[in-house]
Amino acid sequence: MQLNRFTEILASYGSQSSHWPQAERDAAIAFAQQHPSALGLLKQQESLDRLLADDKLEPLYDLKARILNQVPASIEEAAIKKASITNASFETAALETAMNVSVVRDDGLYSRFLSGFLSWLLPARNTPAMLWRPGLLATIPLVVGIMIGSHLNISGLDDFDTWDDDDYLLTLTLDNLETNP
Amino acid sequence: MTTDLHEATDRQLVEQIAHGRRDAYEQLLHRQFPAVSRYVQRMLVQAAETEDIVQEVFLRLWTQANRFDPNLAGVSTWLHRIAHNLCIDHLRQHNRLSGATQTVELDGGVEPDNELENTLRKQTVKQALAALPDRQRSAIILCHFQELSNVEAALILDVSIEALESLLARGRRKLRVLLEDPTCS
Repeated sequence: MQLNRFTEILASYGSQSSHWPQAERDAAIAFAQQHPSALGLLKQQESLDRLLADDKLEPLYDLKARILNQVPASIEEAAIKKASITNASFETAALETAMNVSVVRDDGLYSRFLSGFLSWLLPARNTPAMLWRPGLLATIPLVVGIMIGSHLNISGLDDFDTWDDDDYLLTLTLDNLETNP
Repeated sequence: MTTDLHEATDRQLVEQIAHGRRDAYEQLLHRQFPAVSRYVQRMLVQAAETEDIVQEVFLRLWTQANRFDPNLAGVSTWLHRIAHNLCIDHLRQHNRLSGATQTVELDGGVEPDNELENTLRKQTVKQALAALPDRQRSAIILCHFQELSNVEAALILDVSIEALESLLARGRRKLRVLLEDPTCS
């Protein structure tokens, strides 16, 4: 361990040896014990670490219970209760969970594609920016319809709609009347 | 069955969750909730959306358990990465909507005592953390507060070890300036 590297480790990870990179920890501890100059560097970082230790957080009351309450009791229940779940995100989750039944039973390409497609189409975190996805899907039938319409040879239908066909049908009818008056 | 779940590793629990096992989910939620919620609280600095983000992380544990690849990362790293990405998305969106960069004024020059001193000091640390750029703050939270290894933190931030150390060093340097001499901010 060189002084440069020891200084870098302290600057990045602070004074607590438990935070130092595991691969270099023993060498850095040995360096600190053998070199008096290391003590000054350690003290510089200790003051910041002491200040950071003051940062305490308030517990998030009831959040764990709320998360748990939102998750369906089972896959089957997820499918059944899907409609009754009010939270939009969890509604998507229930739908995805229901879809996961096929993923669990058949881990084939089709199932994975379907599951992936649904996740893409109905992301768990709904934001207005994601609305283009279902919008795009909704326009696909319109685009396909326009394409089919523009490529369809409508003039071909006129070939059947001629006077010759009418004459032929009339002749058949008349023949039928003569044979069966 | 309950005893089995208590003894199961996190990876085994994720496998069970992928098969729709709610009890496995409950067990893993119990194990991972404290760390993930602390990370999100510090990243968003007690923003109103903290609970939403934590909820979203664990929703994804339920819905995307079948996507977890144990060869790429541990369960805790995977969940922290999900949390990190959600926090960064949220912060970017928030900054874009507000159209403002973070400007934090620290409570310097105050000479408090006793409990008031402690409260103000805690508040100052939070404000100093909030003043850091998002990735520097995340690096410091992961390595210092969450006590993850540098390899895990680099994986979560999707950077090399060298880049992680650079983020940490710059973040700590700025924190020292803000906390040890708040008037410089």
